[in-house]
Amino acid sequence: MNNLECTFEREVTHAEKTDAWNERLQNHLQECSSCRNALLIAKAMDSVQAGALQKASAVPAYRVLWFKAQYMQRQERLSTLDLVKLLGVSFVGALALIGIIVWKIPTLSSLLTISESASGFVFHTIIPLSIPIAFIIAVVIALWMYSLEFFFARR
Amino acid sequence: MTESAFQALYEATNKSLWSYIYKLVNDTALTDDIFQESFVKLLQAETSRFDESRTRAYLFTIATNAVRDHWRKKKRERNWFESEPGTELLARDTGHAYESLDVHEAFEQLSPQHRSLLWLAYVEEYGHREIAEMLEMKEKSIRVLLFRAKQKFIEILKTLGITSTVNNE
Ligand SMILES: [Zn+2]
Repeated sequence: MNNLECTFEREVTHAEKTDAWNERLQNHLQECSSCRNALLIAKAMDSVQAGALQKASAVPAYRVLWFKAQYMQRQERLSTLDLVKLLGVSFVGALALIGIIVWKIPTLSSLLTISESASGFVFHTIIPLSIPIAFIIAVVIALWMYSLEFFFARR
Repeated sequence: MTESAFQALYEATNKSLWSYIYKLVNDTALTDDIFQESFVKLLQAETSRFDESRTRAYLFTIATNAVRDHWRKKKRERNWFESEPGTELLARDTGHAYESLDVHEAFEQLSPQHRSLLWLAYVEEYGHREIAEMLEMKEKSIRVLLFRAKQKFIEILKTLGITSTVNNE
């Protein structure tokens, strides 16, 4: 026995619950006040539990909670997907917008460049490249979003 | 978790869990809410590697945390540790066989934390280490807290005259 409880207490509690007493345990009970207290608590807790169980008759059928959890998980997945889609579309949109602005408004593009040579670099290198690059990025994002949807739908 | 595994777990635990929550919050509607929330959270958690007993323990952990969260939200965290400031107990004649109502009255006098510990130890029969894991506390702390809970409960039972197996030495 340690200073807080007797090592037999759990055995006593279990014996009370299962009505599986043995002579050794009953003899011990005679000489151990800690175990007698544990027995009293175990009996009292049985009574407390029995009273509470009587009130627990109206629990829902398991299917109600099963479907509720399924529904909530689905909602959660959809909101994650929506966020991913929104980010993807915003990114592609922003790229396209920058491309159009630089391509269609030369004044603006010249403002963005420091010198003539830099401006030439923008018109002859960046803009022709930006359209296929934006297209490739858009395809990659589309594939990525599709794979995410596929992944989430399978889970 | 598969639907059939959930069904088996639900059939085996629903009444015990409902009773446990009810004895912590004493409110049928709130018990229903926390009960449903606990099972839904369990289904949303990753428990595929858990065996049956660990899943059951995890369910009780979720429910206990939900009860504590309820008090936290209501800024009544301290009530988790405090006894109900309810009616005063009148000392009664000692030695009479305990009656169910008296025992319930005695249990209600304990703090929710003490009620939780006694339930987990005596109804669910969890050991100190298991309770410590469930409540995310040290095993040593659980040992001390449970000892205090037992002392308090015995003291209240004695005040109510429920002493049939208590040695009054
Ligand atoms: Zn003992």
